Amino acid sequence: MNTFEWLEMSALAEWVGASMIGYPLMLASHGVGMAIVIGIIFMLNLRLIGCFRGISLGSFNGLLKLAWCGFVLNFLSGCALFTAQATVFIESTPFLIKVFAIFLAGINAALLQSALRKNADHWDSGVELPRSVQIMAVSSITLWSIAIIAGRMIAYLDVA
Amino acid sequence: METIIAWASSTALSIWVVDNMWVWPIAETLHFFGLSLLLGSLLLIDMRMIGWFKRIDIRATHALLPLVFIGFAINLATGILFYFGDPGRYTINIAFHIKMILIVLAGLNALLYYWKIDPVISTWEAHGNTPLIAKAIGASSLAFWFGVLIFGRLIPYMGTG
Repeated sequence: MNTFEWLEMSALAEWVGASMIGYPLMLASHGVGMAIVIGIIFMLNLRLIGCFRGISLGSFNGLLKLAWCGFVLNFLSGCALFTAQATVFIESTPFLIKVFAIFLAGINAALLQSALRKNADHWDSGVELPRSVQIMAVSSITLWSIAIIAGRMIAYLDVA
Repeated sequence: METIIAWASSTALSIWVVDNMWVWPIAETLHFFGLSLLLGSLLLIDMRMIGWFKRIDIRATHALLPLVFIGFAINLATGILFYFGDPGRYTINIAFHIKMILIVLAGLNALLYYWKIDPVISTWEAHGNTPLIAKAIGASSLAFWFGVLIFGRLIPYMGTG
């Protein structure tokens, strides 16, 4: 028995897969977490590429903490959903693309967050944002979009 | 309900959704993008109206309203495709009924925003506290829209009760 077969036999997988509320509860949490993470990150990225300049970049320091709470919620609910069908997910190409995109998007978000912490006040004074920050904003939108699209495709592009 | 289902199933739109297997997954993906735009912009507007995140200039949250409408428009359009793609399922589904009621309540709450908040928000102190009515409208909006999201997710599990 390999690790993924073992995961599928675990008590968590049993609860998620077989109880009445396990799967819907985890799926609903995953939706709520997505709205929080991607919602806030999309707003930040739109602001970084020049939309609604009246909202200061400094205000995103607090908002990003909330976004990370959503990220943790989705990591946990995602792990729970994974265990229920571990052997299927681990061989699903869209799932692997999704996880890799989120991994890169998470690193990108952490880098943006530390840049914001250092420079938000300076950037809010009306200077042009560095090109690198705009590139990171566009990469962020792209990576999270890939995560949404690939995540949705898990149910449609079955493993052969 | 039988009549509604029979009518919806016979429309050209219904036949188009059923006959093209790629419509459903593409519409679902777009529904998620719309949801992220709608709830992302509302999170900023409503949490600031509640009185949290005071670093956000409350007068500037007005500039986020177009995103709320774009997100809603995407989800209304894709939502109509889902309904007509499977009317027999949605028409009698309890979670779907609750979701629709919550959308109506969220819409009425938005009217209240336009009546009570929109005309005066530009005169408010940028980083100050907010009046009780703004807190109530902001909190209701988040409760209704997250309810919409949760009950939407529960449609496959709640069935006809």
